Amino acid sequence: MTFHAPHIDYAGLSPVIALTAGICAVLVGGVFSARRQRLVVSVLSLTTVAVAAGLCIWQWGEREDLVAGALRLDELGLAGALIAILAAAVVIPLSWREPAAERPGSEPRHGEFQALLLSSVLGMVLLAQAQNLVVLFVSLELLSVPLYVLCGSAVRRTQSLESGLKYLIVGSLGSATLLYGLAFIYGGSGSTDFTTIRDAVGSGLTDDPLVLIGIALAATGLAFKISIAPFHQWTPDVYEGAPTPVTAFMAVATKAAAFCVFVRFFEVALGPAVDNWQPALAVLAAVSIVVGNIGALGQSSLKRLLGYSGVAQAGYMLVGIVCASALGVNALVFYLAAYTLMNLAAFAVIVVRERESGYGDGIKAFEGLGRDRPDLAWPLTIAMLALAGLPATAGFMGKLYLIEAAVDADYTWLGVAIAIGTMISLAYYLRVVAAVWMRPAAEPLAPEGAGMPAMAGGSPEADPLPSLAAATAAPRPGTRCLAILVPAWLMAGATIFFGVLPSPLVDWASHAGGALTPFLA
Amino acid sequence: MDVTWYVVLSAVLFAIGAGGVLIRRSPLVILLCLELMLNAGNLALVAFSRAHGNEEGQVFALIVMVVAACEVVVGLGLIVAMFRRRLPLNVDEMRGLRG
Amino acid sequence: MVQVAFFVGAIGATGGALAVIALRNPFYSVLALVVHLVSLAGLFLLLYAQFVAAAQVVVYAGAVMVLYVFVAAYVGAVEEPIWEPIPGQRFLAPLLAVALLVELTIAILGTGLTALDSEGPTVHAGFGTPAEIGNLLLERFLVVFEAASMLLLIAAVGAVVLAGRRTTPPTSSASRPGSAGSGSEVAAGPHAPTATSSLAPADPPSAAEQGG
Repeated sequence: MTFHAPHIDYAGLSPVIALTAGICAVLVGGVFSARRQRLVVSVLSLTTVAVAAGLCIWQWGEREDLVAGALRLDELGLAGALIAILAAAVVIPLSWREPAAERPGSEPRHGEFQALLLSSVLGMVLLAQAQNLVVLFVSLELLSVPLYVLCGSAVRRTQSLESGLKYLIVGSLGSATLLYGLAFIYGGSGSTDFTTIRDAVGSGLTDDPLVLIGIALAATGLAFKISIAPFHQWTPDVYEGAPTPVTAFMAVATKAAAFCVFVRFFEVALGPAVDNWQPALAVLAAVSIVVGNIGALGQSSLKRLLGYSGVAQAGYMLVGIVCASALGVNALVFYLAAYTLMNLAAFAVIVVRERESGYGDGIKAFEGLGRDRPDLAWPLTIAMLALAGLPATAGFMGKLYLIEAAVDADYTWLGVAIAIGTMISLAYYLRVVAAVWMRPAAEPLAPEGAGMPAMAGGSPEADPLPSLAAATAAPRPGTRCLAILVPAWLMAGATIFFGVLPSPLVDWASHAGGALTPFLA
Repeated sequence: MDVTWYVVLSAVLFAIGAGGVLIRRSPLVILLCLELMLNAGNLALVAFSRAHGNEEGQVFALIVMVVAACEVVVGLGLIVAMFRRRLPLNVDEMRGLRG
Repeated sequence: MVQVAFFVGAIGATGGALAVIALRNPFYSVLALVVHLVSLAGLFLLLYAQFVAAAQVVVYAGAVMVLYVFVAAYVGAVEEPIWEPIPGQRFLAPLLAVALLVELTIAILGTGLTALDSEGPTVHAGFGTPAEIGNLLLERFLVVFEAASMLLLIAAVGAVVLAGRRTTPPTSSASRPGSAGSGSEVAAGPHAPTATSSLAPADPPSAAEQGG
């Protein structure tokens, strides 16, 4: 028995290494005392994501297998990694005053909070590049486990704990289902490598019931993670209960990474069985579009609304996979990027309003925003219009791109489904816009009041006296916080920019599809 | 013994676990049922590893154990945190998030 | 002989699993899971997975279950009645489970894979030994190995974030070693009650805390 160390291309692996080093540094940064900790930790995490993003951009265009074929370095994986890193870069400033990390009344947890966030990013980067069933499974868990903790990290708030537990149970159920599916696919093909599985499935296993049930279980498990319709019930609850910066991160980054691996797993490993999974996924996409859009109609909490809208958007994006063409993958990556921009803009505004109005994330908190806080109203409006898919926004271009891909792949009816879903969605997105611009401001509630809902994370009355004094002495959190306003405006600006001038983003996305060309029809 | 026996046994265990997750209400027992499901996956992996005569499935099973341990740690952490807040440990009573 | 061993293991595993979901006291469910896990370890031995079997007993049935027992004892055995009024669509659950089982069985029995209809190929002498598994982990599955270690670290940190409790300590550095950092936290997080008596459910400010 001899040991042959695998060849490691450190340049290709550098984003992963940078993130790992950053996580350790941030954890150590948590030893600083309360006042300095937040600054040190935030700077460290922002540096980490900046370095990781730089290294991803440096490696853009390389295509090779890393570490004995465990990871695949190509534009699709790097695109997913970049989207996840972008989401983290926005969420780090958003959690600047997050009660879940601030822990009024006890020691702050910024070090742990940001380290968990970064390790989730690490899981996403690995997941987007995974080319092996075992890597897929373990990086999906590395993505999820920190998110379970982050959802429940506002331990003073009942809703947060419940959402954490709910996410953990549903997420683990999804993982277990996925694992069983992966076991069957391994059982059918005798290998855990995507390319070897592809060869094995191609040579006479496309209709084998063992492999088919494996595909079905694996698709179900992944559908839990990206909240595709029949498996979406957890989404609005968890989104509502989790601390808002965490919700923002979860909503965009998880989808990006999970969709990247969804594409790679289905188009590369299970490509030969395309005739079997294509119709099933098409039905899932259609159901998701319908259920998500109808569910969002009656919501009064903006986070729940975005949760349901996320279900519908996941349905749109699934169409990109159903197409099983390079065009479909391009459209999917484009839409993922656009979805990230518009959702982050919306969540940034929610974070601010939730802290300064007493209404939590209810739609009431946003009434009259247009007159009082135009600096917040505009990003929210742009985000809502883009999510609804109005022209001159990135959301419009993304939907157009997806519809084109669907028609090109003879799935015209799915293109029609996207169009109908978009029309339904206008009703609830425009309701938010109307509340922002056309209603008078609701009476502000005193944030320290007894009836303070949702965001009462700190719950000062439960704390010993010193912290009560600190809580009242502290300035109203969130107000005019540049760390939040700047990202919100940047995201909203980019949404418009790529809506008017989509070609840079289209070029970028088309590299991702190009990386899979050898495997696509 | 044919490998099929082991795989069918794993299917039985997986179904029991899935049923348990749906039936039980205590989050602690639900976590146990999730363990059952993951272990059913492990049995299938090891059985297929035997059938193909390669050890990748066994490595996969070991990693699943690590993953299961991590989920348990976080899940139990949440349960303890909820218990300290005196929240009902019953997934049916988690009404704070319905609307 | 192998048949006997298989059926003993299979009955133990199935019986343990059924007991987990049927027993009303979570504490007994945990013990039933231990039976299940040990039976599975026996089946792993029959499949030439010595190392996995050993890990199953040492790590799983040993360490993880101890964690469960601690939490079950800490939270207290809340007996839940099982067969009384089942709310919502819960009565569908057993039907769903049976449907799942039937579907899986059809798939397993219907497969054209011949490898499953035999005992499997004769394996070489070292199959499933720690040496071979270790080699695989450090060669082909190096990334997996590293990612798994990261996952363990993060789970430990997560347990501290959720269950560790530090109430306004005099100096921040004094309380730090107790609750942050090392890997032993996996076990230390949830059963921290031994350290601080204030964790007992008789904590005074309950109403205020729940108000938030």
